[in-house]
Amino acid sequence: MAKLTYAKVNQDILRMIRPPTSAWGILFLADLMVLGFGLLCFAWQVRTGLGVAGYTRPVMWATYITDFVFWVGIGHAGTLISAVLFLFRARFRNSIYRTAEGMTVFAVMTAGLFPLIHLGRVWFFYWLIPYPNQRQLWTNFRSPLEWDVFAVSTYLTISSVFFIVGLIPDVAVAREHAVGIRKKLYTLLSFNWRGTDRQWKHYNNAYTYFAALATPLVFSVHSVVSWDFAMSINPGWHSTIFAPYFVAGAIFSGIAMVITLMVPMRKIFHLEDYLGDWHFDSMGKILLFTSLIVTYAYAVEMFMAWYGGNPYEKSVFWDRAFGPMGWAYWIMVLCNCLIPLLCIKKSVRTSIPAMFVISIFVNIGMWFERFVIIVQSLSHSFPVFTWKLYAPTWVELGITAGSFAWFFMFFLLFVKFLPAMAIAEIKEILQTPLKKRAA
Amino acid sequence: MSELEPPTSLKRRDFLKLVGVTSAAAAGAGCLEFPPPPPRLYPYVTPPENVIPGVATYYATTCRECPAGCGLYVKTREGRAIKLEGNPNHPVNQGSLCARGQAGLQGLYNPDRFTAPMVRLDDGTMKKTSWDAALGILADKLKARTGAVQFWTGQESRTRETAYDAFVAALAPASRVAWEPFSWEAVREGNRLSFGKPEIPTYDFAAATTVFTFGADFLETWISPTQFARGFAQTHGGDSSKGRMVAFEPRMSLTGSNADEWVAILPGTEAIAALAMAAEIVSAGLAKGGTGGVDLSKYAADTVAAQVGVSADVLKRLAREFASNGPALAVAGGIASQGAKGTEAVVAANVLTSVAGGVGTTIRFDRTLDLGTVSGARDVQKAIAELNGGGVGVLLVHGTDPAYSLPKAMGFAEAAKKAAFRVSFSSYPDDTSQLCDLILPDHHPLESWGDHRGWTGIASLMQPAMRPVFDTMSTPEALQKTAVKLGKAQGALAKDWLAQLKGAWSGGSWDEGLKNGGTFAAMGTGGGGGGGVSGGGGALDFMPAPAGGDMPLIVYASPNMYDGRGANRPWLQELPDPVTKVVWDHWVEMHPDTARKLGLTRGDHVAVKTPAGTLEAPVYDYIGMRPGVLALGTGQGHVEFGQYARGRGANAMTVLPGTLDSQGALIYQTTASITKTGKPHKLVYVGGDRYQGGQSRQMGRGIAQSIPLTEVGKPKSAEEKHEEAMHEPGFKGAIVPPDPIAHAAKEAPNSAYAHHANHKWAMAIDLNSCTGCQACITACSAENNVAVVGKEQIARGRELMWIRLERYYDEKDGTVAVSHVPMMCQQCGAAPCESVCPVYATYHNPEGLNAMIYNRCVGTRYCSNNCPYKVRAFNWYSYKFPAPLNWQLNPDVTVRDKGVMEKCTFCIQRIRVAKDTAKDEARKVKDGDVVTACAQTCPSKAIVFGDLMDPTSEISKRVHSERGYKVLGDLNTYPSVTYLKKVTRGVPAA
Repeated sequence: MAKLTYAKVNQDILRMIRPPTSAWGILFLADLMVLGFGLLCFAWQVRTGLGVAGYTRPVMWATYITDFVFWVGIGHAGTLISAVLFLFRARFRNSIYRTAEGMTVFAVMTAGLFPLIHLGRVWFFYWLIPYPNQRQLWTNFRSPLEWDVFAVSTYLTISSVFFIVGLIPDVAVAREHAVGIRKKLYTLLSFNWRGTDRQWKHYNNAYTYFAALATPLVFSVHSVVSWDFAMSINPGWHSTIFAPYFVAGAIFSGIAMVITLMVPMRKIFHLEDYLGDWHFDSMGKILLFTSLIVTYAYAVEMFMAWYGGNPYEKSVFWDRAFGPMGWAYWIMVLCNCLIPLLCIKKSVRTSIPAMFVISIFVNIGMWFERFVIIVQSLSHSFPVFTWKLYAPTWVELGITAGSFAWFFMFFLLFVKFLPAMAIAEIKEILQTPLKKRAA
Repeated sequence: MSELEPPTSLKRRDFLKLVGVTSAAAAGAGCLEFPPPPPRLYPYVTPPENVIPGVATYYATTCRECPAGCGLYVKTREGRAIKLEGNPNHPVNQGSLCARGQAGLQGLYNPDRFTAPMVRLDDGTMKKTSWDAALGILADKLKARTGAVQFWTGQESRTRETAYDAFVAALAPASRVAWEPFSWEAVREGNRLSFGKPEIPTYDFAAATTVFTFGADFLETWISPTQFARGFAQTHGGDSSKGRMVAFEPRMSLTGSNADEWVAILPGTEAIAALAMAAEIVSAGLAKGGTGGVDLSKYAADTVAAQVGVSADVLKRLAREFASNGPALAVAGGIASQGAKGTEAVVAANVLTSVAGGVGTTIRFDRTLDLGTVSGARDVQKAIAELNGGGVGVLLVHGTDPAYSLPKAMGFAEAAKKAAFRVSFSSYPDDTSQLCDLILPDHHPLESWGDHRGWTGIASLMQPAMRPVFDTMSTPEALQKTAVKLGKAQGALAKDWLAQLKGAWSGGSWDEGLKNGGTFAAMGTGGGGGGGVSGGGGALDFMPAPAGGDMPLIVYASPNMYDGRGANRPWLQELPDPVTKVVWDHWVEMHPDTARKLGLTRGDHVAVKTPAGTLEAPVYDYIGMRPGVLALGTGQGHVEFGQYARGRGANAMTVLPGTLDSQGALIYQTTASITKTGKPHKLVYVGGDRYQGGQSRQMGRGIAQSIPLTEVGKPKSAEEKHEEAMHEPGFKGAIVPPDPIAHAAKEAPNSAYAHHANHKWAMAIDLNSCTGCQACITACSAENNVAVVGKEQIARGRELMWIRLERYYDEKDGTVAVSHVPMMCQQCGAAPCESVCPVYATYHNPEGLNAMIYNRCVGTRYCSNNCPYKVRAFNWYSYKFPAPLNWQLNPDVTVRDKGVMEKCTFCIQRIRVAKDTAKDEARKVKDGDVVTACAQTCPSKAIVFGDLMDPTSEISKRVHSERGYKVLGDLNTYPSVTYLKKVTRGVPAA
């Protein structure tokens, strides 16, 4: 980044938030249309009943919970990059963390919808929140779903605050160049930032503090999500490996999503100077590492099913691979275990098209991982007599598409209204002007 | 939902007036008529006499869903019948009821019933009219007719017959035909030949330790299934281990699936199979009775084995067993008595019973079933010929649906059109009523006065349990009024129907009779052995005709639909067929090998072509068929018959040739060829078969467990005891300590499971008694307002029924063993569902129940995911109860709306009633006070419910049975339901 100057950084990054082009407008409109269809599907489902989804007893959780875990998982990479890598001073994060963090917030906002969407009586969703009431009704803190309420809401709160705090200096830069409503928005979000040394000192302390606060969430939130399954007695779910396995999977899918988002962004906004081999190489390494962890988890699950001698467990895992829905398992293995192995080669890690394609496969693979865990385990539970197969309906597909539209709606607004790259932090690693780098 | 309006549209003021008036009337609460629900609910200002709102009133009457005539208690609440239960004092059913009996309510509240008399206008449409006008039309038509009057009825009670015959006599020239599809013509004819008595004797399954059934599905449809199931369970089920049952049938019926050995003989060879065994008994010198002049030498096992399709050794082994294992009973019926050698099969079975010494013990004539004057098939042919000849001016049809239930080849529908004027008394728009010009809808039996005299000494009464739902009229009353109009009200018709009934009643006090449901003489126990067949079989040729080129096709009576009259009851359509588990459909059965040979897989849509016609149906392949044989059930394929039955499946009668056997009984068999049509068809059935590639195995999960007879009562070895103690309660298949309270008190003294306030409710299900008949399911649905969801939803596993009957096949030693396991909420002591509900919508109550609070449920469905038994059902939609089916809803049970979970509650509302009653009477709840709907109706008394805290209760004894086990007990869920292992008496080692 030697050729970059502070002024050019300001210029390049603020260029991104110039008033939208018509291409952006069309994209945004198309996105809203998909979102509208998703909302229509949801309205139809609320009005008619959950029966419009493809649920087939014993598969009482399916696409919606798959989507939930998928989106929560996506979020984790953002926090990992912004908080954990910050604490570890991994400098390659500076260019990517803002986008990743935005992704986290939007992904959690998307994920949080699904536990509501999947409720039989969504209009009573607030019963899951423990609030004092005169009938002394309380929630059941033994239920992992109740833990979810806290895990997801905590995660959303912390990651939003972290996101907003991190934005302060950059929004202040944007404020200087903005007019009208944008000016007001940026003024509000920059919290009267003037860039004084005192402010920088407090800012850095606060940022480190929030990073430390967010770091455990990377591990705890997805552990809690995994306990939705691991705490039950279903074969295929009831397993102690779930928490680390899910956390690794979450980071795996999140990194993939970051790559999926960054590659087109780099292209469209001409950010080649900011995102290069270094970044994709580093992300490729994380991808490879987490891919190996999930591969290990898959192998251990299979091994334990055989070695444990539990007939139900054995039957479920046999069914996963060779049952009527075995294709889903093999998609998962292909996308999550085999294709990411390409990242072993540095030439692949530094090839942006290759990384983009791999990341898409990982996204698909990780969606199927959750689908396999949820649907296949349920459809093949203890009582043989109830075994049944599940297939989603257009309502579930519509709501799933809608959830992507919901996520991208925020993301599209984000890249157009907020600095999608951390101006201040990029400057941190630039050569200081008028100062010779020490030899 | 339905376009049908409830019968009146009373204003509230009128309604309250009506309440006052009827309360003054002696009729009491049974006769209240309810308007459509008012916008607000008002309390009774002046309550009708004898009615305490919230307290049920019971009326004793008689079930008319099949000719058996079980006694009923109709539970009514605030003037509406809401539940049918067996009359515990009635000797036929002793409190039990089958699924069809339970579904009688949906006949009463059927949304497709005729709401008023209807007359056909000149343009061919039907128009409602008044009773006076309608009866006037009938009288005019009868007066002005040219030709005879033909009156078709079903099997009717004697008093109704008297009224009908008086009407027919008054209208001479006139005749009456009584067409009852399964009236056991061949059985009566066979008994006439064997014993000189054309009657249905007492088949004493309770006395018979060895039962050989030749096609008689006595646990489902044959003669008196509820009674026979009870008797069968007495000897064969429970702790009694004496009995052994062998079924000889090409298609394994539910009865066959309960047999200890299923012998898949070729159809039509039942007679020679029975005679071969009789011959073996005689030649072995074991005969205890005569052969009735039948020359057995022609039918030696070695001679006929090839024709029967079973090895001679098997026949010989079974013959010796039959003769030497206590009182023996051989029955032939069902598909055996509906073939070309139907009557012969009955005679042959009688000979077999006779040589084994069973006549007088297991077959007795001290109590016979009187079906009244049921016409034979020859009479039916004659009547159709008369119609065809144009000699009939007015055709009257009541209580039978010949256009549907006669083989199409007999041509009733075409012949009926030749009658100048056709009148139907049907309550429902059945196929025959569609041909008619005047509809005079009869009351439903639950709205009617009547009587029923079936078995000797049992005189049952019928009384209306509520005021008629619609503007209908009891047919004898309609006929009497018509006779008055015609000026011919003489004889029996001089009096009104109730007076006729009272006049015919000879069972002592009328009021006592109404209270008890009739008068019942004690059931005889038989005069010991010694009797035998008296001959008559000598002239018969038992040898079946050589098989033709096509595959034999047998038609059996559907356990759910029976002869078709169940098809308009959503409960029965939704109730899986007990054998195939198919719902809402009609199918053709064949062995998987046959299907493979024909290039077919399950669900393929095929055309079944017989010499008489073609029908289309999906294929259902299963191992309970003799390879090369096809089977069709009756009961579907109605042209009309309301929204639930119309156009559903095919009518097997359309492919029957309508030929008669040598003794004049109708043949329900033919030959057929199969061709694939390639049409798409969704065959829906419950069970995991589709996942298992068409099999139905339990994959070693020990859900249905059994114990060989030889192991029963054996003391356990020290090793086994140690094993159990070591793995208490975790070891798979081990007997879990039956007392979870004590166990929890020891293991987890602070848990909720260790403490129970006063009661700990529990259930025991004896798999050795359970026949898989599924009466419990319908009883449960009726009691607990369980909605019907329809075929499409069941395809998605969304059936709401709180009980399911799991059925597993197990092929061993060349025979097929079948297990039936009723599965409902196990009310676990440490329930996985409870801990995962985030809002405490399901929780453990102090009496050991998993309470389910519908109002609190938000529908996360986690409880269902975590339920290892998968017995929770979710309301995916707001299910409808089309009026007036909603009248049947039990006011004690919440009707669930969309988005909430539901499941078996152990009939908590009944527990509540029992506790309240006990409190009112200042006593404790006794054993037997609480009977769940399923236990109440179970024909074989396999289900016992009670309080484990009461050490003297029946349940406390049962849970300690050596056969006791918990399903998936190794999961430590402490289920409150204890299953008692089925005792297997497989093929003895040679």
